[in-house]
Amino acid sequence: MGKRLLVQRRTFLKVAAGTAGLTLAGASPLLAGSAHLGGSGGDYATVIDIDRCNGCGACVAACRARNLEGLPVPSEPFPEPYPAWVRTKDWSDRKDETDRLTPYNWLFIQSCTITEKGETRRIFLPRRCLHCLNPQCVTLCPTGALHQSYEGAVYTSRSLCLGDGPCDRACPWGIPQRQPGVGPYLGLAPKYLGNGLMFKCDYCKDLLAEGKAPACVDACPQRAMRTGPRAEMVKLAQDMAAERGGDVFGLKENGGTNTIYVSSVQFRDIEANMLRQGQVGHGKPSLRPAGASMGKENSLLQGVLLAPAIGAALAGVRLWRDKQKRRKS
Amino acid sequence: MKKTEPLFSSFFSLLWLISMLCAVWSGLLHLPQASRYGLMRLSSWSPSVAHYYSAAALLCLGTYGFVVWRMEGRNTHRLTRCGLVRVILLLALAVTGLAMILHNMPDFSLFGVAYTVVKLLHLACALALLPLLIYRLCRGWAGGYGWLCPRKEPDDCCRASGRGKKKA
Repeated sequence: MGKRLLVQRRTFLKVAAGTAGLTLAGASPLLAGSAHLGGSGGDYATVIDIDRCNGCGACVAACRARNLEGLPVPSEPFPEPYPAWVRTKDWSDRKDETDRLTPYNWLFIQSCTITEKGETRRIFLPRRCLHCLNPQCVTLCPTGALHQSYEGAVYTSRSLCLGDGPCDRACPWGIPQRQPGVGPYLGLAPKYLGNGLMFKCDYCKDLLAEGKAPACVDACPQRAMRTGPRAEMVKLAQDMAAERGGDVFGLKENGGTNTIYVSSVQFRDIEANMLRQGQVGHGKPSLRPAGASMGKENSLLQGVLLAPAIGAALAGVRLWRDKQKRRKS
Repeated sequence: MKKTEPLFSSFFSLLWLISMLCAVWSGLLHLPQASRYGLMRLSSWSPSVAHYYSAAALLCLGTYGFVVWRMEGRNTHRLTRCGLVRVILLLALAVTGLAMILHNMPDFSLFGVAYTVVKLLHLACALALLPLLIYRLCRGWAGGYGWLCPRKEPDDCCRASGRGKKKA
């Protein structure tokens, strides 16, 4: 009986270990619906050519046409959050605002005037989520509401988001925008837990999964945006920048992003002019170069992986000492 | 009743307690309620680093404990039912934690719902440890055994797991 139990336990442990291994390897039968569960990803990146963009706003219109109707309508009055310092800002009566990022506007054209070699020109930057390769917003979301798709889209699951997570603070460019009065928190304890839903560009993940370009890219009449496999897009961006003696933004910023800007003007100059002209603020992200996300934590990886080996070594020392003690006694 | 020499020293228990408290504290700081209710401001520093250190300490101590029990204590000590549940929860925490650590690496991601499942499982296992600890403390105060008990003694804490019970 004892042996039978032992065999059963061993079988159970084998099955458990196998299932855990399969889950991590990306082939769990429980989650067979998802094609890719883990790995390095087949990222699609978008190259945005700043020199071609004339700020026509076709991308903004296409984004709004695709997304605005599907956004949830807030239920009023909004629950008064506790404590009082928790801020709520209603955007539902300002859905038409397109000169900044809002929960109802996931893409806007940021612009500034720049003087270069005595020539003044207007620069236009279509701004939306940059879809980082290693996004902190996903890592730090406590409810797991933010996801990253195999194609590299970073998107929010509206059934899990409670709206008070650190994603907006974690994002180096403050992209996610909060709308109170919507989301699952209303069914929990809205006064004490949650604060709405976070909204941001989802990179048209469904289109991307079908191998199509996002709506904004498709709508651009100037062909200023191009989407494709990241490796190709990186090469394209580097070639374009080298041709013009220009600059690339998004290769290293925050550990690399899937939105890559190319310009003949240095991005630090664009950033400086934007700051001077008041084009940076809430809902108007900067172009600040952020370091690699989770860099500090990832540097501790070796320590974490070595810890069990150290534990085993210490146990070995203790066992040896105990053996010596037993021999002496 | 508790005449058998304990398998682990009080220093080990103290280290485990400190590491566990640090892991729980830094883990809780990841929840939005931590900043909402003023326990911590996320802008000043990242609780993830503290969580990584405490995870490393727990992995080290956990492996130490397992090896010592396996080599020296298996014949004398067995897990109580409470202890078995705790070991399962800790293993689940370790597996999901390591999966999240891998996800944080730049070249590896868990996509879509897989990451949510891992994350929520980690949170659920961590939260489940609390009622288990309270139950164990209550039984401990009532005079029963904690996570481990001697093999020859009947487990009057939380009933021994099948194999141990049979041998006892």
